Amino acid sequence: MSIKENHSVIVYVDECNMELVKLQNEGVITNKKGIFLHKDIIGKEYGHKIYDTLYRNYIYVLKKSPELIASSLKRQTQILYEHDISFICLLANALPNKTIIEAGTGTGCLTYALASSVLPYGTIHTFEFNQERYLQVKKQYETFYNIKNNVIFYHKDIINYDFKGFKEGTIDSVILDMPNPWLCIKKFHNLLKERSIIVIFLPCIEQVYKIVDELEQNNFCEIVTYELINKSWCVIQNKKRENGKMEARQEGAHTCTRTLDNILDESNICADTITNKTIDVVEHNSNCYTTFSYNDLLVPSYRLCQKENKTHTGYLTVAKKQLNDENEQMHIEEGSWN
Amino acid sequence: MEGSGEQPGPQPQHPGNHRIRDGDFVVLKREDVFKAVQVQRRKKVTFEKQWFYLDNVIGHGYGTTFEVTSGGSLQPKKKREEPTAETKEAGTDNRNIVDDGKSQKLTQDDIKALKDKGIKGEEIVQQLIENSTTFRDKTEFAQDKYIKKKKKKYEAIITVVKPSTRILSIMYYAREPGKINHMRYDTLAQMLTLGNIRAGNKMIVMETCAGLVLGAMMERMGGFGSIIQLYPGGGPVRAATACFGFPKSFLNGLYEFPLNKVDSLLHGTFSAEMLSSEPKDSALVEESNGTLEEKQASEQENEDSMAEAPESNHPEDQETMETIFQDPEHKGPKERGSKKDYIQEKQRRQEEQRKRHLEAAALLSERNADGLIVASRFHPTPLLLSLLDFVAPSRPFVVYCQYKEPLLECYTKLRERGGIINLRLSETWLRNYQVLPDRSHPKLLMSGGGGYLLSGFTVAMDNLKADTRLKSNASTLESQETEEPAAKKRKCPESDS
Repeated sequence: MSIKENHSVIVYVDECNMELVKLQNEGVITNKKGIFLHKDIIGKEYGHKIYDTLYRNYIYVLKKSPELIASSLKRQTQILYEHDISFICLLANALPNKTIIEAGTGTGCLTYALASSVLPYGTIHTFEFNQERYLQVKKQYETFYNIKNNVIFYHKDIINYDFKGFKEGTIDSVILDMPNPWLCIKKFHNLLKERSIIVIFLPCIEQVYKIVDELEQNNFCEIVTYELINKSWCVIQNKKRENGKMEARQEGAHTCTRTLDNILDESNICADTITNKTIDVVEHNSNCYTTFSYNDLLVPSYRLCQKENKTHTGYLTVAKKQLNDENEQMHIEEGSWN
Repeated sequence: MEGSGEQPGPQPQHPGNHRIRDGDFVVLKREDVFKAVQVQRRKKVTFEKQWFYLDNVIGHGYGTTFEVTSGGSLQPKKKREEPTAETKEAGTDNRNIVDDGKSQKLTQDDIKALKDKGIKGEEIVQQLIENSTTFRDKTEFAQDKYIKKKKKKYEAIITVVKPSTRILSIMYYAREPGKINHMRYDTLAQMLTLGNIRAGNKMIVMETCAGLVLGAMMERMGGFGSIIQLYPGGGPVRAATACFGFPKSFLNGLYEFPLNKVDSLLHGTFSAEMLSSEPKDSALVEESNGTLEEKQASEQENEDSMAEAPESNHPEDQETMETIFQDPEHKGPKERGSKKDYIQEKQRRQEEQRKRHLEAAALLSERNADGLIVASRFHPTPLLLSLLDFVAPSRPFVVYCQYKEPLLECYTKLRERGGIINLRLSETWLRNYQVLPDRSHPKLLMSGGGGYLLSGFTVAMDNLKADTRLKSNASTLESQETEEPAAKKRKCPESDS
């Protein structure tokens, strides 16, 4: 499936540099690797290298996916980070053909993940009260051909919106990432199906108190509050010595039976600088020369180091709409067992 | 989930709660404890030290709460009225309270007598409060806590909920984490999104998590698209998958293929004859928890050494799943009929299985899968190195491992292999909070015990010989990423989320 014009793709420079680009015939991408022409990308396959005009460097062109979108969209507001997005999709039961309301479109990262999850016929109704952001995200989504029919954008303040076109009890989940969600809980209670889920993302604990209170008073049950923290590691390659061997001279004839560790300790050789080969011990006169190098597993060629991590993003409060009372009193039709 | 797989169409879901029927899969919930069961008439079910029959559940909607009454029947329970806010007499702190175990005047026998009389739990709790000498001296918070504790013990309120990935993954993590390699539900959530699992994809999965990961994927895909599950040993374990209660149509897109034939498939030496004419019945394999030793063995050795372990002796394992299904087509022994019928039936099933395997092989050979998920107790490196060849370029893959070190090795081997970018090794920590007026605090920090993830994207494999035009001092992507990032120079905006 080759890349077409007017589609948007992810231009991958490296882990920290990714860009969402809408391809046009005469377009040009300029980044630290050089100048790349859109023309060189159109018609190619995803996952291939694209070289710059000087044929010195290359970048990869990738298909969109929630993770890449989250990494590449420009950040204007505090966005939900990708680990929160994944957890919200699980908690909110974002599944095929569901109808979900989202408030606070923001940069559209969460919207993308939700829209992917509700394919093929589900809908995400997403609200944004800031006109600039609304227009920007809407425009971006025009090139997201496979999900754009599943998203409906609203430039409205959800607190004042009357939801006239929506029937009661038809919404599968509601996800809120806005400053004052407690003002519209009652409204959502009517819209939600029974036993449906509401997920609210709030940065401050005082807001969490308010929302839990409001949820309890509006017939929501099973209220749980989580905090999710992401931790990732950088894998760094250990430097290798250029020449293959290391020599260590040992005095005495009986040293060759010693273990490798002992020899290392006494020679003060740093493990980092040993190269990869098998162990070879050679005796020479009364001195013991040991030439050695290591097996991959004995001295790893990579080590871990922690990447800088943002710890707190926000609290996720989840609740379910209670059953309407009459169902609990329902008369059982198919014989009862006593 | 119900209805969405069977009749795809833009019509909205039927409003109103789905009524529970005989044969449906449900999850019993009491406070924070879950148990997955299948509703069957006249079948005794044990849950939280109580036994009862599920017959009365039929006809109600999910979310209904029941109370266990004498004789083991479940009665729907009305929502409890909020206790009137009478000013309870309470103390200010606990300086005068002595915990000598003598503050409760009712004896064990008294309480038993009350229970036998059939008095409701609420009443019992009330009696306990009245007969406690220290109750009035406790602070209000301590009183609340006391009441809550007694209620938990004496009031048997059970809610029947609909199975979903969230509920089942929470249940498995709490009850049988060993079965799912200690994969916590937030880690599973990451896998589903990182792997871009959605309707219409063709996914490859290799998991030994009792089928939980498979079930989560099937739920996310809604019956659209296809999943090819690679399995070690005789057959895939799908105990957890059955708990979801998927409609039969979902099975159309589900294929399985034995791991030990993967190598031949990759080298093009696979043929239909390789599928033995008498494969072992995909019997339920209750595998023991993976140990570290297993991790070091290669994939082939694992396949042989992993005997069909007998059902584990751990009694709680039996409790989680009342009926264990690995294949909804599997008919119970009662329906077998005569021995001749049984043999015919067995042959028919074997032939079908063979056909499915061939179809799976064909799908795999196209080498255009939309993603790969690995979550097993085996060492991930050999699995990944072979299975990645089936995945198209520019597609995500996610590997779960209970431990970090195998993933580190995997990372290095993948670097050597090439054809992979955006490799990320990550872990999530989950903390839940108790939010009560004046009593809010974090409850539990779950870290490390939820497993680790290695994720990345595939790209077209390098064919270095063809790149002769590349200038000699080109700074390639690979060498850049292996340079040690100087702490200040390279500013990666946060943890790459």
